[in-house]
Amino acid sequence: MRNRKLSTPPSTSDGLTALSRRGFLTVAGVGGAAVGLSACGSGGGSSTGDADLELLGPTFGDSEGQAILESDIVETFQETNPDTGYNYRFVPFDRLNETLGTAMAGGITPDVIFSGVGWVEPYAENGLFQELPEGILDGLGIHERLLEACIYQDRIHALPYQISGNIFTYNREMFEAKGIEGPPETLEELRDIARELQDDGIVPIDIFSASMGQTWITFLSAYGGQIFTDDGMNIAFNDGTGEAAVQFMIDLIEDGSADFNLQASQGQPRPWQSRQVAIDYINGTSWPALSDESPDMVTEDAMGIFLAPGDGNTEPSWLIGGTLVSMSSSVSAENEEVVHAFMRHLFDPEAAIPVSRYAGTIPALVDPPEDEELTSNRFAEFMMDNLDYAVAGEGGSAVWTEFRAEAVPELEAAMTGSQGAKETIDRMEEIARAALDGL
Amino acid sequence: MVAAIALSFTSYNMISAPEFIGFDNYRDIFQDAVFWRSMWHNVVIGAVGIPISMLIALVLAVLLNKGVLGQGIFRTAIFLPHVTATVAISMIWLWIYAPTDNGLANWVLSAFGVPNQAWLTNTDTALLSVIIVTIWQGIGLKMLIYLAALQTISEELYEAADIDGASAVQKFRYITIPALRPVTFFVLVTSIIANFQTFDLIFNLTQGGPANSTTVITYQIYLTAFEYFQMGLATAQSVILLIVLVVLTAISRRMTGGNDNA
Repeated sequence: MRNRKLSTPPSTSDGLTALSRRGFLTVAGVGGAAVGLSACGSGGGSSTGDADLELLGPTFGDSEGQAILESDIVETFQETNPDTGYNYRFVPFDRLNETLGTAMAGGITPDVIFSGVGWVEPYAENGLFQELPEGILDGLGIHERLLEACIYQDRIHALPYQISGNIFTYNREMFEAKGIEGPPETLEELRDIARELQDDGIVPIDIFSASMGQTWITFLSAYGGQIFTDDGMNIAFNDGTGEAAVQFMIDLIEDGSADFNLQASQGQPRPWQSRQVAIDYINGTSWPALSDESPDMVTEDAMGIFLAPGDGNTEPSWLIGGTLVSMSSSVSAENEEVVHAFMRHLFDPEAAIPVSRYAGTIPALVDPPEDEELTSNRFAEFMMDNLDYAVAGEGGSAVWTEFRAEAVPELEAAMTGSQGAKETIDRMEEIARAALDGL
Repeated sequence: MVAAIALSFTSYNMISAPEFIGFDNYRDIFQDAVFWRSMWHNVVIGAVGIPISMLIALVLAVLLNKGVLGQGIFRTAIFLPHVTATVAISMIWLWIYAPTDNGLANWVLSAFGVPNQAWLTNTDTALLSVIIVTIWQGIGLKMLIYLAALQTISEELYEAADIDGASAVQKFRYITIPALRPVTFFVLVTSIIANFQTFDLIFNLTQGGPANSTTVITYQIYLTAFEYFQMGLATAQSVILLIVLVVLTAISRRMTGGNDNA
């Protein structure tokens, strides 16, 4: 048998052997992959110890928000829980559903999830949001009205972290020019005032720059209605209140008091800011942008604020929105305590107030601490003063997200004149029934 | 793909294990008016937008092939929309289409006495507005492909035509277009496929509205999967889309006489 002699690798013209080059490329490739993997992940965070909290949510999207999360929330939490690190992933609201869905499918869900009003029911139903013990509320001083959006089938599945909502604002100068003394107290008064405000180039009321679904729900609440029954298993808006709400919106258009085509586009000033509109239906989180872009329009002298009026039989109200915080089902029993502690920590004034200032929201507390910057936010101040009139109109059922996605086009069809109020409600009822049948 | 097809016969909400339900998803799809409306919108966007953008791209390619001054700049400018993020494009067109005097389109029209149009909130104009954006965005790549193809056509053919006294139009019709047939087929097929993949433009520009007047099939699939949590149904919709694309590709091949010798 011939002895086989290992041949030496051929040398190449640049002096490196082929084997050395291959080895170099291999090392470079592995090193590059390692660098790439370490760069993956969208959130900042510090991995300090035994329990790293995985956080996911639509807040803290920019560098200012990240700084608040790190210094005002996490670092203060670490004073009592030094072994806890965190990793935060920012996902805007319009991508949150998709992100949570893929997380569920992949079996990798974050520990703490910041979501919105109306999200608790579907995610509690599918098991993503764990039930929270009632004791978690002890001593937090959360306003009872704000807890409504967090309860599903009599169990708490979220805490109302930062609250915002939809309110009406009006241009005082335009009101005074028409001799209108003050905001309306009923829906009929609102319609009358809107008619009086009609003028060349002015659309009296803008209800379409806000979410179509939220606008309809606001008027639904004003008529004393709600979308689903209290148990979330049946339809409630087909009692006449849903149709009345749609008809009211159609009537505003037909009066010439509202214009479906006049809506704020993303990145554009609101029609109200351009003085094309006298009354605006707006979300409280718009305050930072509004006060920055149009400071002269949001002063006490220039702008009035009012609640959505009732129909004469119901109280005025404002629609709760904002951010809720939940614990996911992936949190193991041994880590529950840390997660609960972190969730409670979010309500410490030193952790909550900076977020409220940043986001233009209010902390969900019965008695929020005095804060000059917060009260300079007129929307926040208004909502805090009117917490008793807050209504959790969105959600109410595990089929909420499905219903909302399919119902909004029906409302748009009504607003564009393609169908009447009754037909719209009939179609929305079909949508809701089909969704509920799937439960 | 096999897994997706298998999943299309199940009811799957991403939490519980998939449950076999036979053809129920496909039955639901065939009864879903919104789904077929979205399919129709894709057909309209493609049927209107693709030929127009191909024609414009071809004309631009022919012009640029003549070696005009500043050719590189023109080529870059025309190609830029193709490489720009769709989110950025959507933001720009949201401004262009703003329904007030602030919108560029309305500002231009106002110079001719035309009143402000509600481009994206009027059900009569929303889809057309989307088509315009797709045409604008699609010209660049097509132009580049045509330009590359034009440069492979032998000059001798044109010289021979000149000798025979052919006009520019005749040369274009009898030399250029036949020579570009394989490329045309390629552009057509890829454009059709890209058309049915349109998602981010709709997501950012109109969210399928108003009143589902601009929804497209990929957007419906997205809603089904991530708003309704019906992954089985979403995969069934995707299978339908796949079948449609295969059929359209085969038809396009037959119509344009495309072959593997392109």
